Amino acid sequence: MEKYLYFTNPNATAIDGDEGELAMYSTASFSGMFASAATTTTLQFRARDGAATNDDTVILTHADGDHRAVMAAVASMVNAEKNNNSFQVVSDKENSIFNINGVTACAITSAD
Amino acid sequence: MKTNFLHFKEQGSQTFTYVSGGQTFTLADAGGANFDEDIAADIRVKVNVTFIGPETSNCGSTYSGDGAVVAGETITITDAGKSISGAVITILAISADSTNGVNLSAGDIITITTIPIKGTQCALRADRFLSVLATADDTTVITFKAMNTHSAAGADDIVTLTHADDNGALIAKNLSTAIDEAINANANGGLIDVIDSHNKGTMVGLGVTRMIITLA
Repeated sequence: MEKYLYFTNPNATAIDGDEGELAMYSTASFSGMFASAATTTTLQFRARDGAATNDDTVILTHADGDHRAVMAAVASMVNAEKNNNSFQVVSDKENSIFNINGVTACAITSAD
Repeated sequence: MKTNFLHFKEQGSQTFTYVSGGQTFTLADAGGANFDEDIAADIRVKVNVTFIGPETSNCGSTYSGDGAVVAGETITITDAGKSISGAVITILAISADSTNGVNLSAGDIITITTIPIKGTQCALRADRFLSVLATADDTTVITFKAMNTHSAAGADDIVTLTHADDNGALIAKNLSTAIDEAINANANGGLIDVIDSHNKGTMVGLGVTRMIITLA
């Protein structure tokens, strides 16, 4: 079963711009994550146009120092550990659904 | 497909107890018990002060309108309230900056912690692991396909471990075994600590003294 991670950020400038308002990525395209600042963790995905040299990113904003907890939650979602659903809502600001404790926002950037 | 993510976090914290005199604190060199990387800029660290007793006028106005704090209260020094020279962090006194300065008292606890940036903490996919290579008797390098490129010609994500020199006899082998253990730790997939601030993980206790994360 293929699984997907879902994000929305309705306040982004435009769907066609560098910042995306909505994205769904295959977990197979998810290549890792790192602490990028005191309150952010960056998720890396294979670029949606399939380009080899650039990647898309989703930056999750969370409580100060919560990187490990966020990483553990994302890893759990990638593996559909809790509900075995193929559709995993990570951060859906449009509907105020944040399925990781402490996450309050996300920013989607497509390399394409 | 179930996938484990290997978690690496560099260590970066040191605690001091203020005694008297200048409000300066010398950070330990990288590779010791406190930091994996030397700190070159004061904005790279968060400086917290926990007051041992109540104070009425020892805080700048940005922390407390009237300068008062209660015993046990912790404040975070603003960027303007601290500076660095070499490895020495200075907390400005109120006489130097009435807004951002703080006057310390004997017994106050100062905790200096690295602020995360790219290359201090990461979770790398087990299925992007490439190799463990002993590049010297005291250095072992773990390599993963870079998370930010899918080009074969692209750079890799690298974790460099420093450890005791045993002429390659045992430590590198133990580290290789620990990576194998982490990659296969959870058949259902999850986050697996390999080195988390040298406190927990499959490599803790194997003699690693320093870890540097280099993300492409």
